[in-house]
Parts: sequence; structure tokens; C-alpha cells
Amino acid sequence: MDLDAVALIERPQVSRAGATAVPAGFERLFRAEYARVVRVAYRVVGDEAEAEDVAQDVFVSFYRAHPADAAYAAAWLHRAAAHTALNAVRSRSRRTAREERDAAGRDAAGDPEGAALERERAREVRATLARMPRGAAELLALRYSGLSYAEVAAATGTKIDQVGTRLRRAHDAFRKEASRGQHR
Amino acid sequence: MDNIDSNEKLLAMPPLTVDAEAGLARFAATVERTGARPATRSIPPFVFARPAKWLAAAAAVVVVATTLTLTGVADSIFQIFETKQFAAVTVTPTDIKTLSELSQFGKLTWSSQAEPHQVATLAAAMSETGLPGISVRVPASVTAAPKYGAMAKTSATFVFDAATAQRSAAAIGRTAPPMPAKLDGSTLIFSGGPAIVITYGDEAASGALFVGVAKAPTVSSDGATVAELQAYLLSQPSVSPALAAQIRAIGDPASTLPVPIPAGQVQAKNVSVHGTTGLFVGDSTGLGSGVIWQQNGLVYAVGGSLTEAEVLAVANSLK
Repeated sequence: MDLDAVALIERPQVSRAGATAVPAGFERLFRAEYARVVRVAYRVVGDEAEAEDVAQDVFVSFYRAHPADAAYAAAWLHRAAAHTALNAVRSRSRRTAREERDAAGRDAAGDPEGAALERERAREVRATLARMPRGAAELLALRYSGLSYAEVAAATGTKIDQVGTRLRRAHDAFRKEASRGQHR
Repeated sequence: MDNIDSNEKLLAMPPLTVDAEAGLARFAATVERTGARPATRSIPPFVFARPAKWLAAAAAVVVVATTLTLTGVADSIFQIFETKQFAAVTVTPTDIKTLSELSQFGKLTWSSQAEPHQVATLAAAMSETGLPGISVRVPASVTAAPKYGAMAKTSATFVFDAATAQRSAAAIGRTAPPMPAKLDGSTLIFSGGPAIVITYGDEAASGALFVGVAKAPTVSSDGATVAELQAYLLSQPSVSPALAAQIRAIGDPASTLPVPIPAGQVQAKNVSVHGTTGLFVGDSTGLGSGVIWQQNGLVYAVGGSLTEAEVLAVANSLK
């Protein structure tokens, strides 16, 4: 992503170009869930622009296949965001070059040291999530994007009283993979 | 706990401001550019649910729903059910919720609860399961590479327990009909798998397809009779009268697996597959559909984000 694209995304008031073909019910769903879908993806990919790309793909998939008023809409979107983001980090090899360009742009804007630390943290989280079992990685992405236990339970199809136990196991798996990564 | 603390620091979400209006504008532009049409009906949930979960739900329905034939002598285990054909049974969300809780009638014990897991090749799946290999002609709309899954045989024992049934009914403010003395403590043994599932694509993408083969699920009993099971299970407060009527109407209860179909979302009908009768579930809009059939003791299923014609073409191409 180049600097112009960063500026475009950060500009606060990007207005919609007139009336769209998107039905009102879907617009409501989009406004209600878009930020959370982006955050779930961001927790995995660690990059704003890529998280928004993932969110857009997820909403297009949902739009084509599910009605906006489906009871499971939010749960589906959250799970799909984690799933699609993990697919992206597991498969993408061009990530490094793009990430370096993005990072250079942000560093130039100020706080290069902080940005470098954040970048290193994002890289470590992403690499660890990519290596660990998919179900556990999805669980951590959902929870650490800010979703409640109830929302995590809905997205993963588990009972709410099992979320805590599954999260503890996911933490163990994360730690194990993280230390394995450090010793490589 | 240390693990969690150090993970929390790593995983803590950095601040992120998301502009939903900008996202919506971009989404609207994509919709206009690609001509994407909004869905008006759901893809059948089973198509994108994990197949194993769906099979587990179907098995749960069998427990409560199957109208079993008379079995033989008590204290011997007889096979009383083998899946040979399928019948659609319309269920409401409430039915699904209550039926999936077997524990309300007694105790379910998994004697071997196999988890489906990915294997590298079809040959590995065949060797692990002992099942014959399957292959299909994949439609052009499906572009993802195949992934192979294998699941070992799964079996579970269910023991009816009158006290549990009473407690479960009391918990929802109802009085359960008394469990017949002969049923209290009697055992059903469920068996499913082994199974092979080939998936192309995933639930987050269009162009998804799955093809599966499994040994036909069976139920055995140590003596409970069809009259007792039907009278007892179908009179439970958690079983709706509409569902009970549909199950009673199944013509060949010893070999017909009731397939739960969410009410109002999808349609089901009999179709011809490989010269036998299969159950087609879905719609003809291409949003999603699936077909399931039985042949020579094996259950086959094909489903995905495909039209009826496509899914039947894939099913008939199966070798």
C-alpha cells in the first residue's frame, strides 16, 4: 500500500457516492459489524489495510450467500473474519515486502521506535497464530479483537461455559508455538 | 497463568479506528462493479457447518426420533437400525436446540469419539479408514485444491435414566411423562464412521464443495421396543407435536434416517443418484445444496455452493 492509500483510509469523512444498490438491511448489518470484523482480522494480520481487505471479502461472501437479517449473521461474520485472515497469513508470501513499505510510511509519520516495536509484536503474533492449530488461533483472534465470551461462543459454535477452558488451552498452544518460534 | 499473562501482553489489541462509512462506500462500489446480488435465502446451514457436527446433530435426532422396530430378547444386543435411506424431517430452531441435548433423557457415553482430522492424501485417508477411495468430476466454478479428511469409527452408548428425565423436565418447568420401567436403564449403542471427507474451498468462500463417504450409521439396542421408544420419546414435552407427527409418518423406521431440515429455509426432495434414491436438500438458486444417498452399506454425501444440477452432476460423477 502506498502513502496515498494510507491517507485515503485515515481521512475521517469519506462519503458514499450517492445511493447504492446495497439494500438497507444489509447497510445496517454492515455498519453494525464492520468495525468488529476488521478488528478480528487485524488481530490476525496485524495490518490495517490488509484487515480491511479481509473484511471486505468477508462481507461480499456473506452478501452473496446469506440474508442480512439471518440470526447467525454476526457470528458468521466474526468467524469468517478469523478464518479468512488466518488463510491470508498462512498463504501469503508477498506480505513481507508490503509490510516493510507500510511500516516505512508509518515510521516516517512519527515515533519510529514505537512503530518498530509494534511491528515486531505484530509479526510475532501473526507468525505464532499461523503455526498453531487453527481452532485455537481463531479463538484467540476472536477474543483479543474485543469480542465477549458470548460472542466468541456464538462464532465458534461452543457453549459459553466452555469458552474459558478452550481459551486457556489456546493460550498454552500459543505460548508453546511462540517459544518454538523464538528458538528457530 | 504465566502463559496467559505474557500472551495477554502480546495479543492485546492495539488501538484501531475503523471508518465503517468508508468501508461501506468501498463495499457498495465492489457490489456495483461485480454485479454481486444479495442473497434472499440462506445457504442450508449443514452445507457450511462442519460435516462432523452435522452428522452428530443427525445422530442426535435419530436417538430421539427413530421409530424403531421390535427387537429381540432382552440382554442381547441387536442391531435395530441401519441407514439405508433418508427422509427429510422439518425442524424448528427450538426442536434443534432441545433434540441436541441427549442428556435430558439419560447418559451418553462415547466409547470412541473420533475427531475428523486432515490427512495429506486420499491414499492416507483410505489406509486410515479402510474405506474405498472416492473421486468426482469437480465443476469449473470450484477452483480450490482438495483437502482430505479422515475420521475413525465413532461409537456411543446411551443409557436411559428416569431420574435424569424428570430433572430435565423440571428444569424447564414441565412434568415429564413417566419413563416405562423397562426403558429405564436400557441401552442403545450408536455407531458411525469411519468416514472420508474431501473438501474444496471453505465456508468463507464461494465455490466450496465437499464430498464424503462413511460407513452407514447403525443403532443397536439391548431390548427396548419400538412401541416403548416411540411412545416415550415422542410424548416428551421438548418434542413438538409437529415433529412427532412427521417422525410417526416415516414408512420404514428401521432403515430410514430422519434428516433434520431447518423450517422455512430450505427444501428437500427425493432424487435419483447412481440408480438409487437420494435426498436432495437446498434450493435451485445456486446458493447451496447437497445430496445424500446410501449404496452397499456406505453413505455418500455431496454438497456445496452449487446449483441442484451441479451438485447432482458431481454426485453422479462419483467413482
